[in-house]
Amino acid sequence: MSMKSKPPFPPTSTSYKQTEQAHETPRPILLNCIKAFLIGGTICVIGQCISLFYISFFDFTEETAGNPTIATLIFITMLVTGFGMYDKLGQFSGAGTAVPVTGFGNAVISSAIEHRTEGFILGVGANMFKLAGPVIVYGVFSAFLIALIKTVLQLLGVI
Amino acid sequence: MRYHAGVFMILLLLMGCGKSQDHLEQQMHHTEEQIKFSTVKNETTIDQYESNQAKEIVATFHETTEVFAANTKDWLMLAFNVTHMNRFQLKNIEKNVKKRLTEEFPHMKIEVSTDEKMRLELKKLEEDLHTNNLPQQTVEKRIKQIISLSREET
Repeated sequence: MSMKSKPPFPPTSTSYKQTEQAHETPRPILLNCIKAFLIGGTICVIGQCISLFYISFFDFTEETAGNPTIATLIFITMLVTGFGMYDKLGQFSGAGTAVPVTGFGNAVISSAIEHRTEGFILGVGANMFKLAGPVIVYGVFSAFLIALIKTVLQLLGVI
Repeated sequence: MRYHAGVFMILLLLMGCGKSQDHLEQQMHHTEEQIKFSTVKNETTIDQYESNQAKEIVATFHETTEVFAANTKDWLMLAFNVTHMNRFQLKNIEKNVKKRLTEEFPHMKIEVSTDEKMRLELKKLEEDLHTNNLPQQTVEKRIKQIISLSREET
């Protein structure tokens, strides 16, 4: 029997899908977007305040204040995750807490806490970057690609 | 629901990207008087004539909103702020301002910045020049410090 004559899904599966769709609670997309916007925006405002604090009271410029700001935000996330508040915030706002750098911090810290019982090496060490690892890998890889394109464009005299 | 969310998003996008006619007109009438800058009196230990002149020149650029500057005998340090929408052309504006100032003061080494830190530091220096008669060495030291900060990289 050739592949073409086969239906894409068995009839039971199709009917199951229809039943599921009929009973599925519709996702409140607009409300989720607004929540994500508000909470994500609040995190960014806090970040901007920290950045301004470093610029005003220390010898940091707009450019160099980025690093200590990120470090401070991750430190705050560490505390909030440890106290068990970040997951509640994440449940409420979704992508609003996952997209900023605090989401990355939470991914590292929560997996470190979760695997603490398995020991420091095979538990914390091995699992800490399980979720954050791909972010680092693809972040570094895309940065490399962009740098390569920029170098080529600079050599050609385009920019 | 999904349809409404889509329409709402497109509307938000259009509202955000659209430039109203009022805004355009306002930008066209953005005159020198609206730009904030203060003239430092020339009786200070180091004559601030060049920086005062530079402030007036930079104020003629329609993108600028506030200008701060200070100078020693050889160096002129200037920091300015641009309107929000013009932040996309920050490097270009900075280049144009520097070019214009180099043409105007060919005998001086000019440093131009749009960084918040430089604006804060120059503002403080301007205020100190206004109120206290700072010794020449202190002024030179502070300007050098601001210049080295502006050259700092991550």
